[in-house]
Parts: sequence; C-alpha cells; structure tokens
Amino acid sequence: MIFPVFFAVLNNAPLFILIGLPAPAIMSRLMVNLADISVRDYVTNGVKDVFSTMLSMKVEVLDPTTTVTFEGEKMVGSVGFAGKVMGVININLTCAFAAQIAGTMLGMDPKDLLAGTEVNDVIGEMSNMVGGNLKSHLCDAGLTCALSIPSITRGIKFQIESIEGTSHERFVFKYQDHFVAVDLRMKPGE
Amino acid sequence: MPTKILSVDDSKTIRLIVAKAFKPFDCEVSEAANGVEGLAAAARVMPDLIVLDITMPVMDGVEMLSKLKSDAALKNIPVIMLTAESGRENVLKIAKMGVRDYLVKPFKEEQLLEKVTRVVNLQPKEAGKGTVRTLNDPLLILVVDDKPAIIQQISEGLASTPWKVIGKQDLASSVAEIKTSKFDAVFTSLTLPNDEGMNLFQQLRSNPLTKPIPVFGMCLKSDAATQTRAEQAGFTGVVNKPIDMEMVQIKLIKALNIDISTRYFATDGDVQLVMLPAKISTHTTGDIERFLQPKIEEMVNAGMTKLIIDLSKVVEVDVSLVKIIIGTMQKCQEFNIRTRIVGNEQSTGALKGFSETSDLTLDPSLEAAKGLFK
Repeated sequence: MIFPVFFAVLNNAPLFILIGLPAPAIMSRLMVNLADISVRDYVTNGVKDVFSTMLSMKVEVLDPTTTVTFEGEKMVGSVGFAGKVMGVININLTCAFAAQIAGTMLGMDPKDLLAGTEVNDVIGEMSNMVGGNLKSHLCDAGLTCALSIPSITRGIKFQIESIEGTSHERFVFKYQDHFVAVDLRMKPGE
Repeated sequence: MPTKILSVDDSKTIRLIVAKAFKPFDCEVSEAANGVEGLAAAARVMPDLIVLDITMPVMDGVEMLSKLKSDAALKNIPVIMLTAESGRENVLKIAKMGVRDYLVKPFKEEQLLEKVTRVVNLQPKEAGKGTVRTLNDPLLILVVDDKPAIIQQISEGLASTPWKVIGKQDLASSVAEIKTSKFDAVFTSLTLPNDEGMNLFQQLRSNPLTKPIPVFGMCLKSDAATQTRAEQAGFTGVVNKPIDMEMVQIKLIKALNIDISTRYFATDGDVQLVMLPAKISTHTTGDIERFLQPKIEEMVNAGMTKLIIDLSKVVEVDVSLVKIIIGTMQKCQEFNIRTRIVGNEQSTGALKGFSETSDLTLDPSLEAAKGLFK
C-alpha cells in the first residue's frame, strides 16, 4: 500500500510534494460518501477522547477559523491512510506542550523530555489513536483504508499545504494556554 | 510466583504505560518492539499473557498472532490485542484470530487491568510478601455514611488504636478518596441514596488494586433483607447499627489477619508473661486458647522455663477467667514450665471463692513474682 505524502519540511524552506489530481467522477463519489459520515464529529471526539482518557485533560474546542500561532519549536505528528480514501491527519502543537503531554502520560518531568525521543513517541502514538479512530469510522462507512505508522516532524519555521483536489479541514483545540491544531487532508483513493 | 506479562508494541509510550499499569502487582513485564522480537520473547519467557499491538513495523500483530497460534509450544498463551481501530471490520477480524480480548486505544490503566484480570490472576505486591500485621501497625480505614454521627462514632471508637479513619458521605467523594489513598478496610452504609453503598462495593471489587480490601456493609440490625443482600453480594461482613465498637475491632482483626497475640503475650527477660484484661469475653477466651499452645512451644524452643499469669488489671473474676488460669497452668505443667500468678487485691480475694483456685498463691507484683522464681 502506498501512502500519500503531502509535504516535506525544511526549516525556513518549505518544500511541497504534489499528488496527482483525482478523476472528477471518483471525487464526486467520495464527496457523497464523506457527506454521509460526520468526519468533523469523529475527529473532534477522537481528539477530546485521547486527551481525556490518556491525559485527564479536558480540551476546549475552538472555532476552526481561529488563528493559531505556534511560538518556538513546533511539532507535527502525522498518520496517513490509504485505500478507498487517501489522506493524512496532522496534529500540530508546540514542542513545549508536547513535552508537557509526554510528561503527563509517562509520569516524568517535562524538562527532562524536551529533546527526548519519548516526546516524539508520545505524539506519534496520539496521532495513531486519532487517525485510528477516524480510519475505523471511514471503514465502517465503506471507505476501506489502511493506516500508516505515525511519523513526526519538528522545526522552527515550516508549513504544510494541501495540493489541489484535496479537501482540507482544520480543527482547533485549546488546553489552558496551549493550542492544538489538527489538519485533515483527504482525497479519493483507488 | 510472579505473573509474566509480555508487552509487544512499537510505541515505547504504550510499553511504558502497560508496564506502569502492572507495577503495583506481583508481575514481571517483558517488552518487544515488533512481531519478530515478540515471538522470540514469547519463546524465551513463556509469558502468562501477551498484550499485543496490531500496527507495527517489521512484523505486525496479526502476523505474530498467526505464527504464535501455529507454534505448539506457544499457541496456548492468552493474547489481548491493543488496537487504535475500533471499526466493525477490525473487531471482527480480531475476534476470528482467537484472541482472549481486545482493547481500543486510547485506554485507561483500569480498563487494561480489568481485561487482564479476566484472563490471569493479579496479586498486589504486598500480598506475596507474607508480612503479618500486629496491633501496633497503622491502618487506614474508610467509613462511608451519610450520617456524620456514624463516622464520628467509629473514629472515636478506634481513637485508642493506631488506626486512622477517613469519613466520606457519598459515592463520588469516596471514589475520589480511594484513588489518592491506600485503604486497608472500608465500611459503607448499605442504605445510602441510589444504592451507592452497593455501587461502591462493586467498584472496589472490579479494580484489581482494590479487590482485596475487606469491605463491610452497615445497616440496622432489624433490616434482615439488606443484610442478606450484602452477604450474597460478597461483602466481607455486615456491621449492625447501633454499632458495637468491640465487634468492629474484632471484624477488622479477623479480616486483616492481624496478630493480636501482643495484646495478651509478652516477654520480660527470660520470663513469658500472659496478661489478662479487665474482663474476659468469649473472644478473649478464644484468642488466648488459640495463642497459648504456639507461645508455649516458642518458649520451649527458646529454652525459657518461667511463665507469669498477670491478673493485675483484672476487675471481674468469673468462671471464664478461672478456666484460663487452670488451662494455662496445666499446659505449663506438661512442658515443665514453672508458673507464678500476679494478682491485685480484687482478683486475689475473688479467686479464693472458686474451688479450683482457692489454694493458689498470688504475688503482689511482677517484680515479686520474678524474684520468687529464683
């Protein structure tokens, strides 16, 4: 199974990788199927569930148009899905908040975790849980797909952009002073 | 023997969470990062249970499970699958693979433990050490009753012991307290609103960490139906209201297997002391009879030959006391142990009135009795 790659990252030098555009007929069929399922609810509830179950943190759901600026080093946890629907789910947050999350989950001091692989692993696992939850709902709706192993991107200044023909939805959450932005990009698969 | 758990997951986070969940139990947790390592670890460790992730690099959980099931030596090891995917198709696929159970991520430690305890028996770490509590050891006791007077009565009734009572009036605050404190015993009213007493009992029993805690129900003596319901549900015991604090202590001592021999037996140099309380109850007689033989055997093994029965605190002299004195002296005679009795004015006089003890000579103090052994 080939998973779509929507981006690559270099500090101060964004690099975009494009994926071929879907045929209009397939796209419209996908739109119909996606309209039948509440992707927004699944992602929102999935994120809320991961935070409350694994971290006992109650996140606030913000308007998706909220402007979010991540100060300092940023981290993105990504999980791809491929099959009848292809896409990627990216969880964006600051490295400082990621370390706080990892510290809470593992019972360790966040200061000891900032540069550690544990933080990458924790955010990767969170992405896997959010992606796995969405993938289950997609499969139940007939959009069979497989999930990739999670990956992590870290950097000071980079951005991820959608290619043409790919739907993009953003979800914004807040816990205390920390923001979490989740980007879902999808396009029809084979 | 510790329960052996093998955690197979490519995520170090999940392996750490799984290991942390089993920390309070007598368990040995091994780890592997993929199916290949998992199979090797399973053959080497022969675990009692495998907690297996599905999505992993190198070899995923499905392939590892299929290889495990085709290996005669490993096929009977129970497996609980961990998956981030709760979809119908995925659940059906897991069910067909012959796993014992599955757990969808994200999960709480309690959920994992609940699934695991359905497959293997988890013992809290302390339980395996065989330590015996004595009357001098502290205990933490939770009392749950919507009547503050009951909590106060139990607190005051146990004030002379090293046991501490924490009182709560409802289920929610009790559950919150149980999460932060490690209780040795729980007393809960069986007549709380919305059946919260029974609900608390069920919550305690469903968590392997709190499962071994003795739980006593409290209700009116006349409420036979509630008592029967509690007994059938598996409560450790029922304490009747109005509360008899001596009975509360007896029930706690029995449930926690507390060694109360120090209440009656002590050594002073090369002399064994048997100290009798102000009043002899049925329980006192039973306790002394239970401890006497092993204590005398301990004396003989240690080469001790002197025993003093101390009646200096006795207020009420009755047949039970006389029986204990005579029984102790007879037992000592069997083992050639010399005995003396220390009495106060009251007991010395009253024992003259019983034919079995009328000839006994009582010493006025421990020092005097010890001196007369020489």
